[in-house]
Amino acid sequence: MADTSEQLTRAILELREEEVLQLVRQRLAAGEAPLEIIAALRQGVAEVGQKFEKGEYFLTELIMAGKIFKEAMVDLEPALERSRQQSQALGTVVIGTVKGDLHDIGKNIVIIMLRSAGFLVHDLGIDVPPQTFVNKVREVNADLLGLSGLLTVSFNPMKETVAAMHAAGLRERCRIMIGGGPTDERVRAYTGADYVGQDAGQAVRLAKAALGVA
Amino acid sequence: MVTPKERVLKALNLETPDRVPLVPQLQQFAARYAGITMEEHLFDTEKCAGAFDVTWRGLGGWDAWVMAPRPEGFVNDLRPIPIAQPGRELPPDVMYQVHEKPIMTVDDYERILDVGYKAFLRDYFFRLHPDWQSTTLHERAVLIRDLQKAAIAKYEAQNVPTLVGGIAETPFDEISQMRSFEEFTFDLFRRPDLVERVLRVVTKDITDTALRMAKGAGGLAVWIAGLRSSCAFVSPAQFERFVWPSIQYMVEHIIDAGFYAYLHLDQDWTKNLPYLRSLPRGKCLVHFDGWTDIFKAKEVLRDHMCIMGDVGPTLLTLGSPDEVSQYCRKLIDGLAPGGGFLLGSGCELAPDAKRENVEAMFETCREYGAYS
Repeated sequence: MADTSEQLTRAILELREEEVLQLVRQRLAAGEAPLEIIAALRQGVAEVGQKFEKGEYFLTELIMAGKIFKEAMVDLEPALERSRQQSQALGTVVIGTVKGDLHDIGKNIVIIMLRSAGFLVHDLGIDVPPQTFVNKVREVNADLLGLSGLLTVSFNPMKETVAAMHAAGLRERCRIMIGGGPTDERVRAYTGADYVGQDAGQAVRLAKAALGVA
Repeated sequence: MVTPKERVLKALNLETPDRVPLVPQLQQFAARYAGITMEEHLFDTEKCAGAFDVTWRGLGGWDAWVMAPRPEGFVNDLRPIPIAQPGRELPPDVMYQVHEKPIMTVDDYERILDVGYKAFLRDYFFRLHPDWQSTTLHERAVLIRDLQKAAIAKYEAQNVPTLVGGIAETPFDEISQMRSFEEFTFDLFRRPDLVERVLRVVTKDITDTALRMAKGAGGLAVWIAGLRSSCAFVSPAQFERFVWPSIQYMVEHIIDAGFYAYLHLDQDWTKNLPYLRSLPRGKCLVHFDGWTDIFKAKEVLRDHMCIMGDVGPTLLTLGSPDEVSQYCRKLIDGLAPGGGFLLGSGCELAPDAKRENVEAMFETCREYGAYS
């Protein structure tokens, strides 16, 4: 089985979409445990992420790897349910673009990477008011809140969301990470968030560090 | 007495003027400065012109307009991507935003090859704006041309030039926004040959349209905007296949028509800098937004291409006047030597920049930017 796992990992690393989907179907048909197949896929996406961080791969390649992973999961999820295996999430993340900002490309890339790394991610979309974040964090008992924004007008809604988390008594048990075009350490300090991520790779590393699962 | 136009032209031609020209890309900031709403700034021709004039006088002027001081909302309407505008989809006093969704389909690639991009767009606009009348598309373009022409002429009379008369995006950026970034990315891997053929067709039509606008409206340059076409997004192999041929074509035709090529490059183009070095010397202006290492750009493009930038939105919004001034000095120290530098904002001057920070940027350029 190690050989086919390696083959699958390599196929996703080299972005061979058809081959990945074919291998996944073959292995499912052969009765292999879905979790093992998922592990091989995750390994491939993680290696794509590493190549991205080293500057050997680029954003388009990261996105394509995420897409292939997502497509493979369409076959794997029903099999997972049938097998009654449970995928153990690394942690629960609530994420969205803050109120007043409609951009979501960066956020969506971060979601792809977090999901393929094994996080359970609840995506609230764009233009999300502070209270909506708070309600979702409470509902799903999130470990991490991700706030995205591309415009400078997102700084105040980020700050207001952090304040709303305080007011709701959730600040202590849920870390907050911000990200997006103009965010940097200055913006992190201004908003009162815990972390600022410059790209999707960093977002995954920070999320793992925040939850102690690195 | 050196005029702003002489100062800017010297920098564009890689010569050394009396001081570093100050060229902020000041657009929506004028609404905040003059106290009108964003909706008024985008759609009320008179109030918009008034706000630009108030800002110009209040800040003591600068050396060139990047975009003609005209209401941007009408221009946004003619961009082939969904834009949420204040007073329409958004509350009246917030910034307009691109609200990207996949409106162009995979089948549209073939359609573009069949009928050409210009003809395709004539139909496509009604997907974006179902309430439009087919007869008004041309009238809208004429209105923008005339607004630009009047705004450019008004400041030209004071020897203050406007850089941009005609506007284009790289075809890669434009189609990516019409398809949506994720879908377009999949297209690059799933149907690369088709995308490449379509981009070739689009390049020619986009260039023609931008040049027609520039010839009608005036301005020194034609704007080519690139963001997701940089190596911050695409691999060098994809850049060479899907992006660079378009830029080369556009630059060549813009220069042939007697304009400077204004490369408005957002996001990180540091890895792409060597390509820019191969464009014609002294005929291009490159504007960075703070993501590209502008000091590295000076090393690579010195004596070859005028560089503009890059006082960024975060600094202007959250920083202090001292910090802004310090950064402007650093820019002047690093980029002014030998000429070929315009001090400007990183992309558009942040609409919610602190007034005192903008004043600090302008003062530092005027005082510290002298070459003598």
